[in-house]
Amino acid sequence: MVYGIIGMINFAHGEIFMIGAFIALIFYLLSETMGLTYVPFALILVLLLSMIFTGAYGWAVERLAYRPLRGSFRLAPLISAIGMSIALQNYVQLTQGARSKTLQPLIEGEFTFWQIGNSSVVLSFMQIIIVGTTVLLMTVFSVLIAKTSLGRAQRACEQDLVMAALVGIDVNKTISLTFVLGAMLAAVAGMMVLLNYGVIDFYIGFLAGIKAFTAAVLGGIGSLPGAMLGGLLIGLIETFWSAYFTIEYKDVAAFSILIVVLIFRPSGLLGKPEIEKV
Amino acid sequence: MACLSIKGLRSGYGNIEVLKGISIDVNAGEIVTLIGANGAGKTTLLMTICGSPRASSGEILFNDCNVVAKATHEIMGLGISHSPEGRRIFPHMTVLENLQLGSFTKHFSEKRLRHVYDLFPVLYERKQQRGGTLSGGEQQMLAIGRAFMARPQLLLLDEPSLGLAPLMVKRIFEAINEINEVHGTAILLVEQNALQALRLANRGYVLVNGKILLAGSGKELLTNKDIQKAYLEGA
Repeated sequence: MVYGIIGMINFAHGEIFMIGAFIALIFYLLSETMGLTYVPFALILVLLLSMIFTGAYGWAVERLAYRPLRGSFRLAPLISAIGMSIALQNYVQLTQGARSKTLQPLIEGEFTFWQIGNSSVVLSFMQIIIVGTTVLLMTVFSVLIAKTSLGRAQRACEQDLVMAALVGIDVNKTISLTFVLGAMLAAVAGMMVLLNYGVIDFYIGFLAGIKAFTAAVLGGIGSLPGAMLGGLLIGLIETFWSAYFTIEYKDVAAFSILIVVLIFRPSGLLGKPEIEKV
Repeated sequence: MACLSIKGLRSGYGNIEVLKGISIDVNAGEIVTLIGANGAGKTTLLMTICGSPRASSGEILFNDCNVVAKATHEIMGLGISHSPEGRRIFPHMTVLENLQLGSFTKHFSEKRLRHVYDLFPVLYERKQQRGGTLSGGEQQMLAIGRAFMARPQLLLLDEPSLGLAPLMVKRIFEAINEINEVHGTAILLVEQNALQALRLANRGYVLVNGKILLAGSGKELLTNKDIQKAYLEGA
């Protein structure tokens, strides 16, 4: 999303997602010690709080690592993004420890579709919540970007920073806001991973970041539906690979796809072609 | 009454000073043109009024308020609009979205939008088309329309006739005249097409190497021997 709007790949996004998961865990444990026992209410509260705090992290990252480099050569923010990513990993490792943190499953139960003999097709409530939340957020954000004045300002910033300022858009504010929104989405993702797997550590952001990047490239970088399609495809490929071949090599499968896509279709499945008449 | 009043303005890029002490006035409701050769500093002057690049010294008073220290988006919110060099249409956005962005600092007004469509009916026909797919002349109309959407008191136009067919140039100049007459918008027009610009303008300035060499009414400048020789010959 940040790429689509600012035209810059935010390699620290995976770390923001990891921080979102940690913040959610901390807030959940806090709410538990404070005696909040009604789980759905606690979860919604935790979700909102971690979105706010992770949003603040997103804002700070943009302020520290990217804004001073705006107008510099194209690779500069990319390098500082990688630096930021390493710094954030180590920051969490130092403050939270290197061991995995666990959370007991909070949302249990499942929904059975049909049963044939001993085997049945089931969806856990957690999976339903994840898919539902993703679809909801994607719809909200697509509408935000396509229809609102803020969304137009964001797209204007991506296409021409100078002209965006000339129609009266506060470019710095718009970019900051974009990072905050991106970080909030990452916080939601972080919390979903925490609830689904129940285990997080300081390193989860790295692989997630690279996978997300692969999905974005596969779908067509800068396109929101493309990123979603890419994510879905990567997930399916990994799952089928694990089922039919070996689970150890599932990352190899995912990254081979990245290479193949980059060679044969650099603009991705739904990406817009680079050449245009201006 | 001076709507825009510039005094002793110096500006440039890095160590290169482009504007070397410029003073000009634009009165409310007036068309003022700025003519000069390539590299004289015309575009830099318009961009400095918009705060990018920033003036190194001097004053830019807009309605008696000094805007030199303000950020670009703040200046644009005060009632100045710019249709910049190269048009700078947002290529992946539709014509309508480009126009909506023009009124970013104000409330979007359907009435204004209709004015723009009246001025340039072709924009209405192409309102759902992407900006990048328009022809050069249509893009120029869109750039002027977008600037006009902000309901400016002062409209800055940078080379609106550049690279256009003569018929299109004529239509653009008619539209500029209409914006000025019907809506009372003051216009600061930068042009290489000196003959057309001076015919349209109330007053004009001649910019040479970052300094104002001559100033006068449009008619005076049109009949000035030096100007005829330097800018109007063959035109």
